[in-house]
This record gives sequence, C-alpha cells and structure tokens, in this order.
Amino acid sequence: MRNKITSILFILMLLTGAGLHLLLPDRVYSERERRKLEPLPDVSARSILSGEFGRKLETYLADQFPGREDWVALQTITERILGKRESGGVYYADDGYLIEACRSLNNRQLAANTQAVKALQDELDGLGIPMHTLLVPTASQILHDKLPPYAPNADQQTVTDYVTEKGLHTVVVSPILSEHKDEYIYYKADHHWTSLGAYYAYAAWMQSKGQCADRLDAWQKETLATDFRGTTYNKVNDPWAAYDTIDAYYKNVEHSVDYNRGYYVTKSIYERRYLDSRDKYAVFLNSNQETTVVRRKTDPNGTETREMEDDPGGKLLIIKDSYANTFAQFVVDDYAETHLIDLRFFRGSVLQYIREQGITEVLVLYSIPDFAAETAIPHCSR
Amino acid sequence: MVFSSLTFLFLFLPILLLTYYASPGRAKNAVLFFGSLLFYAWGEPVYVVLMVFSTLLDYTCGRLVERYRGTSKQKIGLILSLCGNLGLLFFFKYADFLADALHMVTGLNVPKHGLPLPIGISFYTFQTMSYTIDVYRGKAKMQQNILSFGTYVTLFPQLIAGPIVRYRDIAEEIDHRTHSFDRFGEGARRFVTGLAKKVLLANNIGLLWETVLHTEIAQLTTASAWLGIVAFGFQIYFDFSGYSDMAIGLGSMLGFTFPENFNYPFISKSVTEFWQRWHISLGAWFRDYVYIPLGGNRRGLAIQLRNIAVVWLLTGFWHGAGWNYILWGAWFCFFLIAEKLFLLRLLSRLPKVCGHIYTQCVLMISWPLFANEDVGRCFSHLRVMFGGGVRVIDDAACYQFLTYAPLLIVCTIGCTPLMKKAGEKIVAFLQAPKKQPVLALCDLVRLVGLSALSLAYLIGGSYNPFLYFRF
Repeated sequence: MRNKITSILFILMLLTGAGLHLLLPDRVYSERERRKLEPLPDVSARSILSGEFGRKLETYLADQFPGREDWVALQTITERILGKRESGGVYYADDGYLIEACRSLNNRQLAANTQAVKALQDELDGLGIPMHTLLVPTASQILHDKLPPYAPNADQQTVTDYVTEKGLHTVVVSPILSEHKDEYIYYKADHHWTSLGAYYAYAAWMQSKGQCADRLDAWQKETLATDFRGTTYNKVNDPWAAYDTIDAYYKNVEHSVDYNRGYYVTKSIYERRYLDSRDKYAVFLNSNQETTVVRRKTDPNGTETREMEDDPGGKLLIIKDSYANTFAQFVVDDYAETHLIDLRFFRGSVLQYIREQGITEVLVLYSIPDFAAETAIPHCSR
Repeated sequence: MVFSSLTFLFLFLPILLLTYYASPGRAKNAVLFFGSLLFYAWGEPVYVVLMVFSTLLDYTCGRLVERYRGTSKQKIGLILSLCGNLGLLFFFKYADFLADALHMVTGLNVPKHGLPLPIGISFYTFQTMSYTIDVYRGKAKMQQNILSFGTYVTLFPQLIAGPIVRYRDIAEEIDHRTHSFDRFGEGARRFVTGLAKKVLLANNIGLLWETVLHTEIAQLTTASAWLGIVAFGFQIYFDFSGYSDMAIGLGSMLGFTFPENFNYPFISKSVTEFWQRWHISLGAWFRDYVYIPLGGNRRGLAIQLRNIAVVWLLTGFWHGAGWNYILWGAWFCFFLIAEKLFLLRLLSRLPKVCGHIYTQCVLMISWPLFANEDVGRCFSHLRVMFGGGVRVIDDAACYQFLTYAPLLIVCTIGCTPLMKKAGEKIVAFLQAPKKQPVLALCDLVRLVGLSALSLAYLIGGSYNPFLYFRF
C-alpha cells in the first residue's frame, strides 16, 4: 500500500512536469526576471554531436518550466531559511533592506577617472566656471549597520578621501546622510537613493557653496508609486521583499524638457509612463539619456509662472549617473537651464559643450561604486 | 546526461519508464540497452562507440574463455579482455599524464593526443573486466545473449558514477528479474533522497568550497582553509553517495538490486573502517581482482604490506591521472599499513572518541590532495591550514561561517545514521494497519517536499557540477 502510493506519486510527478511543459506555450521573455528565455534549440547533426543541443535543451527546459518564477522564489525562500545572507551580489540586510554589495573598488579605474575629472576641473578653473564633484556613498556604506555581521564590504570613504587628496572640489555628503540614516533615504529594494536622500545631498552642496538650501517643505511632495521593487529585488527575486514608495518633490510641475537635442521634448521631468512598468525609477528624467536639458517654464505671454524676485539665471551642467536623476528635482528651479550629460552615451567634447551652451556651473555626480568602475568617465576631459 | 538535470527527470526518465513497463518481458532488456546508449550518447555522442566496443570485446572474451576452457588457450579471452579494457583506460586516461611525466623526467617530447576523457570510462571498463575475470574463474556463467550482456554493460543507472556493479552481482537479474510496486516505491524514495543529497546539500555546501578555492592563497586565513576543506568533504560525500542512492533507486525501479556503495563513512573510528564504508564497490573490486590475486594476507606480513601498497597506489591513481591522486592514495596507504601493524590495537584500547578524531584528522588532511590537481596548491592549502597563512581568521571567514552554519549542521546530521534511525522508528511506530494512512501521508510529504525543493534548485539554475569527469 505504502509503496504503491509512492510509486504512483513518483510517476505522476514526472508526468505532470513533462506534460505541463509540453502543453503550456513557450514564453519569449520573463517580465519578472527581466530577461529573454531560451527557446527550443534547433536540431542539427552538428549541434547534437558537439553536445551543444543537449546543453541548450537543459537551459530551455529550465527557462520554460511551468511556473518558473515561482520555483525560483521557492529556492530563494529555502536559501533564506538556511541562513543565506546574500544572493547575486545583494545582501539581505536588516529591516527588509536589500543592499547591493560593494566588495572591492577598482583602484586603477578610479585613478584614471579622478585624473580626467581633475583635468576638466583645471580647464574650467581657467575659464572661471566653478565645478564641484559630489560622490554619493551607497546604502552599503551609510547603512552598514544593517548588513549581515562580518559581511565583506569595501570602505567607500577611501574614494572620497582619494579624490579630495587629488585636488577635486568635493562636496562631502557622508556626514549628512549618516546623520539622517534612520530616515527613508535609500530604497529597500533598489540600489538608488530616494528623493529624500538626494535632498540632503543637495543641501550639503548648497552649503559647500556658502548658500542655504530651502527647507524641504518648500517643495511640493507627491507620491508617485507605492509598489516599487527595483534592481536589487530583481537580483534576488525574493518574494518577501519590501515595496518601496517613490516620492517626487517639485516647485513647478512643468518645465520644458528636451532629451537628446530635440529628439524628444516634453513638459515634465517625470516620465510617468514608467510607473506602470517594472523599471519605476526611470520615472525620474526618463531613465538615462545622453543629454537632457531642463528649462524653467515661462508661460506663452512671457511672464513667469511664479513670482520671481530671485529670478535665477545661470546654466548648470551635471555630468552624472542615475543617482543624479532624483537629485535634479531640487536644482531645476535654481537655474534657467539645467543640462545633464551621461558619459556612457555622450560622444562629443564636454568642454566644447560647455562653451557652446554657455554653461556657468558644473557638478559631477556619481555614486561611489560607479565612479570607481565606470569606464566612460575619462571622456569628460576630451 | 546526469541524473540531476531536468532533461533526465522530465524527458528521459518518464519516456524510459513508460516504454519499459509497456514492453513485454523479453523486450525490456532491449529498451534498457538502447535507452542507456541514448543516455550515454547525450553527453558523449562520439564516445558511445567505445562503450559498444567494450561490450563486444568482453562478450567475445567471455565466449572465448568458455570455448577454450581446460585447454592451453583458456587464458586468451582473459588476456584479451584485460589488454583491451586496460588499454582503453590507459590510452584515454593516463597516456597524456605519462607523456608529461616522461617529459618532466627525461626531457623527451612525447606527443599527446589531448582527447577529453570519456565519462564513466573508469567505471564501465572495470565492470566489463569483472565479467570476463569471473567467467574465467568460474564464478559467473557465460552470457549467451549479447543484448543481455549489453544491458549489463550500458545499464544507465550505474553507468557514469557507479556503484561498480560486478557482473555476478546482477547476473541472475539480467535475465530473470521481478518488478513490483514494493521495489518501485522503495526505489523512488531512494532516488529522491539521493537527488536531494546531491542538489540540496552537495551543491550548496560546494559553493563554500568554491569560494575558498578561488581565494588567493596569499589572502587565505587558517579558519577559511579549514572551513573550505570541511565543506569539500561534505560536498564530495553527499554528491557521491547521492549519485549512488539515485543509481540504486533507479536500479530498484527497474528490478535490479545494486550493491550498496556508502555506509556512513564519516562515523568511522579508523581509516580501515572508513574504507569499508566509503565507495564500497570500488574497494570490493580492488580486493577481489587485485589484492587477493596478489596473495592478500595469506603469504606473510611483508607480502601483505606490499599488496596494500599496490592496491592503494592504484586506488589513488584510479581517481584521476594526476600526482595529487597518487599522493592521496599513498597518504591512506600509510595509515592503513600503520593500522595493520599497531595502530588498530592501540586505538582499541583508547576511548572511542580518539578513533573518531584521528580518522577525521587523516581525512581533513587528505581532502586538499584530492581537491586540487595542482600539487603546489595542495601543499600551500595544507600550509595555510596549519598556520602558514597571513592570519588565523578574518571577517570573510566569520561571514562564511555564519552564512553556512545552518547548512553545516544539516550536513553533519545528514552524514550520520541519525535520520535513518529516526525514520525507521517512525515507520515501525506507524506499521499497524490502522496507522497506515499516516505513514502514507508522511511518505507523501517527504517525497513531494524533497522533490519540490530539489526541483526549485534545478530550475533556479544554481551551481550543479559533475564531479567525476576525472574518474
């Protein structure tokens, strides 16, 4: 009786798995994993003899397995029960944070990048254009108390110290972020900082220029999403991961926004169509674009939409990674024009761009791990 | 193909089982034979020819032995089989190694073929040889039917990672075996247990070893070196014994009784005992076909010690063509001889725990030799284990330890008979007819639970290595 049940059950499991696999249609793309799934491999004598067919078939079976994502979630749950503290380079940190590990910093790339940014700074010094560098420590630095005990974690402060020592005009943000580390300054399931975290950095930047930032309530706060799960969630696929809230802060809801030299022109720095996708952080400044220009809006009659005794002039250029996308919310009303350049896509000369556009101030803004790893940064001194 | 793959579980196995049980009695062997060839050809499309050759060779040799029995030519079949099989093994597994060794010693440039090792060649050549030798010795009857013989040689459950099933172990079952729900059910349970051991325990603890292995020696701490080697011991045990469980389970589902291969080796109180519990079928093979023919223990102590030495160097060398494997065999040989001479007597007078500790020490020092083909790395790992590293402990070691502590505990319990005993108690308790449904429910939870978890890991595509490609 016992063995009969076991036998039938075993056979049933094999047949159900095989049967469902056969009956259910294959999928091309996994929305939850954000990747293309392996299709049924082509049969040819060569692929069979080389063993390639067998390998691809195994990947195909795994990718197209009925309920694949739920199986992967089961694996994640088991791993967590067994005490696993990280997955795919992401730590399971306290209070539901998924924190991207920063194990080591690439010192050679860092040196090259620092040298290039310094060269640009020297040029601009000559032209009398002020330039600051703001390097953002990521959650693994500021929230290191939340990391699992003894988790290997590089000290990002060494990067800030290094670039300062090399003569860059740095904006120090670690103290203010640390001071507010109990607030919601980093997303729990994404590697970015929140708008609030960016505000504190903005305040530090203003202070370093001898100015005082407006209080946060000078901006209107709007909650854009409450169900955001970003990059770190995608890496671990943890069904228990928290949902993040995305807040926007603005003084004027409308601007004139020009992406990639007229390729796409719109009225808001928030690209709300992304709120229905999985990549919700892209709501800020339309993901990462080569060049973005945000102009303060003037209404058709030529009068300012807001009473402007402190009519701002000046043109700010931010050379940046995606951390600047939330940061930009706070600066776009301080300047007549805010330009953003992503060096990964920008193929011109930054210096020439600055001259042509009449830029009056420059800010280099990167997260520290990106600044130490990004190979496109040396372009900035071209 | 390996058992711990989706291709095997959801393509090969269901089709094979359905075809097998739908076929009439006499066709079952044909189903197995061709199914097994397909199984082997999946990973080694070209080398399947070798297996067919090995089948034909020993089938013929067996016939030759019978044909010339009692005449002066009766050894021809035997010698042909030994030369053929050992020749194959030598050519594919050892020729390049010896070419390198020769080059190192004499400076001669011997050409190398550079061919990859056919998977399982060390297993099936040993099995086919056992047939001819047993027929020659009169311990097994000659197999008339080439299909039956082919079924034995290619039998997929034990083909690529053992156990080494000697022909006489299953001679009867090849042509007359019974199938029943009892055998199938037991087999299914055994298979799922083996799968879980491989996929859940071995693969995951193996990750810890991988991390340590890929740490620069200069940055390795004593604590990490030990942690890594403990993990490696667990990985190789759960992987290998898991494979054997799956093989034995599949055999049982198909009506075969394979010999046991592992019997909780880590609870041994001496190295001698360890080798009676670890890879039992290999030990039995070397005992029956090398140790005893050399005179075993009946021709005086000196000859016996020589025989032990020969067997253990060969055992080491069987595991792979590398100096590290020879050293590994020699390491065990040393302790086996010492135990034979005085150590066993000494240990029997000491508390049992001394034997356990001593055996574990010998094993822990042996694993680095088994795990690294690069002898230099073997010794530098050992050096770090014994305090030659930069530091005794660092954050990384603490982190690894804390991360893997639950799994290490599960593995520790898993390598003792505790769970098995508990299981037997439960079964005995639930044996009464009234409690049968509860027992069935327990079975169901265990079977479905272990299968589901293993499946999740297979689909998740985590680390799933095949460790025996050097055997």
